Amino acid sequence: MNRLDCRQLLPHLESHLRGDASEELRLLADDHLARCTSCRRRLAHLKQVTAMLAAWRPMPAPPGLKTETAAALGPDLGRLAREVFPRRPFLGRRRRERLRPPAPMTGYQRVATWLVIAALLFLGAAIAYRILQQWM
Amino acid sequence: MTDAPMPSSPLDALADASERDLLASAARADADATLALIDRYAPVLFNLLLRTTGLVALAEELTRDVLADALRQPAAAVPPPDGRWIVALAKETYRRLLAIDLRPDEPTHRVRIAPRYWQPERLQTADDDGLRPATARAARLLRRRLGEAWSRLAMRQRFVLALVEPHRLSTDELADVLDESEPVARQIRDEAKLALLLKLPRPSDARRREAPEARP
Repeated sequence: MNRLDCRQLLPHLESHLRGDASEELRLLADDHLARCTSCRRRLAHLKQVTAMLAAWRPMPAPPGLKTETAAALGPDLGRLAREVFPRRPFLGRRRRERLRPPAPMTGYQRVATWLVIAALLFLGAAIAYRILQQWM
Repeated sequence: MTDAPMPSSPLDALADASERDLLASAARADADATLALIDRYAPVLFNLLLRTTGLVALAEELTRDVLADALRQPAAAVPPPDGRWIVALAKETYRRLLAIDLRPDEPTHRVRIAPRYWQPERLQTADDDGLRPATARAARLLRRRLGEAWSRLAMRQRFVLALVEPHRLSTDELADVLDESEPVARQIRDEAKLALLLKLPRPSDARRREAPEARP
């Protein structure tokens, strides 16, 4: 019986994991996996990734999507859908806040920001001047 | 005096109905069954498209179009006895994805994407509790990198993985969706999973980085 090496086995790991590889390939893969720690580790990694993908939590559908779909089928169904489907927010509050762009500064805020920066620069310069005076 | 029962949504009564019954009722112009199908499949299609394209607006538009078109002729949409409706919906979705300017074999990070939608949520599985600390750390690292690796897959690879894993599609169902033969569909699925796997750090690498003192 021929033997598989790691590079030959790699493209068939997924089929082996799902159990839909041919009988011959399954035997060859089992034989290789029994001998190769690296491939066994890779198979375990593949299982882990597969489990993660299968458990990937779905996002809620945007509000209005179901109603719009129903409305595309007719105005009566659209009206009924508006009564049936509650309008939940698309994202949670924390996520919405994270995605929201920062509000633009007002004129007063901008002036106040520049005044604070100027004051800090002045303070820094004054401290540097005093330090230099002590050294000289 | 007894409390009056709360008015329940017409969808509550159909919560346990099979998709075949719902489709048969929808074919008889039953509005509740049509709404129940929309309620059940709009999030499914939306998530499939969002994970494939990363574009909320596109996912929303295609979900609406595919589902509405399928429900205009529900009698034609009823799957064969051993079939599932998700296969027919995914097949039409894939056909429309190919029709727009998203090349199936190229990564779509050239178009504007929103990778934050691809960050898989932290998984709370029963397996997590039994993991050794080093394995749990490696799993956390893997979760962080999964979203990034996902965004670097080609569009078709993302579509296949987003469809196959959550819906447990068999190879013949996937072949039907992709309009390919079974061996080709299997190869596409295996290549997609391998591409994702090779873009992720291996657990052994993560362990080595996190516990250098363990090395001889």
